[in-house]
Amino acid sequence: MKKPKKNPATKEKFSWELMYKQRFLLMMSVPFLIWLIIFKYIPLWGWTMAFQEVTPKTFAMSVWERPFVGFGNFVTAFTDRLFAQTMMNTIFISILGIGLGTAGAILFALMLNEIRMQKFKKFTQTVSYLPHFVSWVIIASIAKMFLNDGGALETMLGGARLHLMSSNSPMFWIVVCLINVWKEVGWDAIIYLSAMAGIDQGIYEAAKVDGANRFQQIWHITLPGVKPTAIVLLIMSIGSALNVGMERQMLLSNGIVQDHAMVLSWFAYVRGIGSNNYGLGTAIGMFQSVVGIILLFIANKIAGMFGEDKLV
Amino acid sequence: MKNFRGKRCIAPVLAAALCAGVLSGCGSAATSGGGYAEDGVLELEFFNKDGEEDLWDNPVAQKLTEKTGIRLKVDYPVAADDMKVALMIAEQNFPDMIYAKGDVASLVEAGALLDLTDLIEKYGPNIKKMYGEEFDKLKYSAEDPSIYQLSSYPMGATPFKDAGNAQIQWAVLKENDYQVPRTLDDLEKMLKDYMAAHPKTEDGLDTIGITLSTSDWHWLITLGNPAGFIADGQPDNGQWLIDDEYNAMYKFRSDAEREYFRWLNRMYNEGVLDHEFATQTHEDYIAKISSGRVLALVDKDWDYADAERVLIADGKLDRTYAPLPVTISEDVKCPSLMSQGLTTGQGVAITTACKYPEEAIKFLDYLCSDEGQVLVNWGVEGINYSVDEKGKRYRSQEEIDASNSDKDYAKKTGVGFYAYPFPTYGNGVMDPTGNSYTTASREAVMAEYNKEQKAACKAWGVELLLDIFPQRDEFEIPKFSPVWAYAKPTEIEDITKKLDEIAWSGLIGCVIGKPEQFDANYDAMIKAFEGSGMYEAEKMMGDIVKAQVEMLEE
Repeated sequence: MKKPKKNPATKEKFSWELMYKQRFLLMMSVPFLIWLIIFKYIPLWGWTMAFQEVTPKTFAMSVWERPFVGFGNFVTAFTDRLFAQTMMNTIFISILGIGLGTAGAILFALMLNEIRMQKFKKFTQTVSYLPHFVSWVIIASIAKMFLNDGGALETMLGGARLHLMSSNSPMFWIVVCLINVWKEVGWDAIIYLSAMAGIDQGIYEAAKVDGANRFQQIWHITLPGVKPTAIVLLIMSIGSALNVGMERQMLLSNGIVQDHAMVLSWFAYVRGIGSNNYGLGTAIGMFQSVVGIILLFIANKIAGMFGEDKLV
Repeated sequence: MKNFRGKRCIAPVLAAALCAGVLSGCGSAATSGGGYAEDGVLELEFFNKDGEEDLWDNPVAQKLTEKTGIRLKVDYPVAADDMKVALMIAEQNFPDMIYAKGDVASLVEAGALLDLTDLIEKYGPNIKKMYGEEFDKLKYSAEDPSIYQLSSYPMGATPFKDAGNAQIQWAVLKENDYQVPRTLDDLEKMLKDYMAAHPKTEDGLDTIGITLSTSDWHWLITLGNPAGFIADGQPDNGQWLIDDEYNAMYKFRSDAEREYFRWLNRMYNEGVLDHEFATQTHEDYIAKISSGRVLALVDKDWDYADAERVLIADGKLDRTYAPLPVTISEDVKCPSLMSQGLTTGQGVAITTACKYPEEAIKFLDYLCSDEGQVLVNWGVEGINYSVDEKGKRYRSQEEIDASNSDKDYAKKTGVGFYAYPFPTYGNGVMDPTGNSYTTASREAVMAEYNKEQKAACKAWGVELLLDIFPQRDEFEIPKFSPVWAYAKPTEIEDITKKLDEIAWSGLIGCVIGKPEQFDANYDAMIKAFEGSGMYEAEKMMGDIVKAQVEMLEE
């Protein structure tokens, strides 16, 4: 399944002549360049707030008048009692989410792939990715109805006290990730299903002739067949490891699990907008971006090591 | 080649042009959207942090417009912990008038509020009359004696109604021959006996001893505040206990409160306290109370009022609640009726963006006038109330019943809808005609009691339910206004916010934990307080209270 290596002959050296030859193509890209600059680069100017005191006192001032605090906002953020906890939450929820999500999606795709009844397969697949299109607000209330103290799950288990949503402990990470798996598994499985569909049927035929049973076929043909896809997706998700969505966290959280539900983006919101300290919020957001970029480069390196094409 | 270079230049030029447009948009001076409408009425934008949808179309609102020539365009937050005020400051985009509740300090720091002192002097005789001797309490702080806002809380109220420290269903009291539980132990015994005798309600639901609402800011009302009332016997000063020397202490570290939470923890583990409370939303909480299965609450009447209306409408009058002066032990006095003086620090303010401050203050002054107060509190004469031949205002029985059982009554008729957060006289204050400004007076409250309440008064041999409470004159009025409503500097707010975060999940954790781990959990919480600047905040808070006392004594 290795992608064909690019033919070195098609790579032309940069030259003004070439630029001129492709001038119409280049001109067509100008609007997107403008878009990129205006919406992606100019807003970076706002990062200056991370080094200034931006509180209600100084809101009305211009950028030049606001007091400069150096790395003061970063120090405040890093010494916050919740910062270490927030980092842990973000990273572990991310890793757990990627791990469980990938494993779940592959498992589900395998099961679907083995179904021989086409109608039933299509029906199951359609139902399974429905939750993907439902907003977190609704998913969260369904999940809470099911998992809360005294909720449906505890009732089914005969009134056991599981404290799934009421332990201020890392268990909340697992709960969140499992809810996420339930919501996204069908959708994520689509890409693996298509990868499985792309495996040459001849290989299966050959395996059958050699006497391989269904499990052996899965283990020796299907799984190796989807490996490249899995690796690419895994690596791509590392880059966005710190961008754990805050809406999901906020909606699923309650009074007691807050400490373990807090993630970086939410932390920036609470300490920045919530406390009217926009400098601090910007500093946290900036930290998140910088670490995100570093992770992206690491992921890109790893991709190269696995023999995949570099993504960036 | 030349041609190409020309094209390449366009991008930065265009970008710069757009950029300039964006920046100039940010720089424009802030003015509000208020102005004269086509019908000659002045429309002012009003943001009400505690508001709900109001199209200004109810009869009282119409009448206010007729009298003052002003119509309010009311804006309100869509969710409980809305960041609207913060965003207003960031955008420098303010309404004409604002009730920002706890966000006042940031507005003042942003210079968004108008000093009303001179305006009141010129156009506000009724405002001055209303606040009388307590007018100086409206001053923002010792350092900044400007008046930025009026008070959103009633002036000079005599309490006729109060929910006390805890509430219990009449049905439970009746089974105990109206014996009033005085201490938590009495209450516990009463609840346990009743639950043993009636494990299910008439509708087949499991009986719940006590439940709490802790999923959002309500944790302060049902989990935080009762601890101070019940364990320390202190009135509401927010998260602070203020001693006789005006020193402040973050209240959850008091030993008395630890005992209260220990009791809650025991109740949880013994099945009296609802085992679902930690994860239920406020809606779940109200729904549970509305079903009549919750025997006792530690809440305030305004919080569970919606649920009681449902109970009344369903004919389950004996499932509504009796106020109780319960405390942790006999020697702690229930502070429910204690007077803390005028509550200031939260109220309606006029912003610097308002182009019509004189009109706005005149509008507020009209609300403070005798005529305005009667309109706001009683409604429109001939429709909501009548005056008998002796000049006494009274309401018909249908009107009283509607106001007690219809939860949209205030919104539909406008009666009482504009009392809060606008300035208003408290219950029991008399106007020059000898009628009280509000519909509540001792006689009116007695007359409006339902049959459960009347039966209880008879059993107790008192006129008012509150007569069984420690009375107002048993307490001294503190020299400072209630600390919970103070507009606190952001330094204190920042620390308090973190302390409250710790307390919120910490206290719930202590209550639902195992009894043998209670002390360890509680100690860990206090340790976390100490690590988050509790002592600094206590010092700053104490200094503010002391400064206010000094300012008022001058």
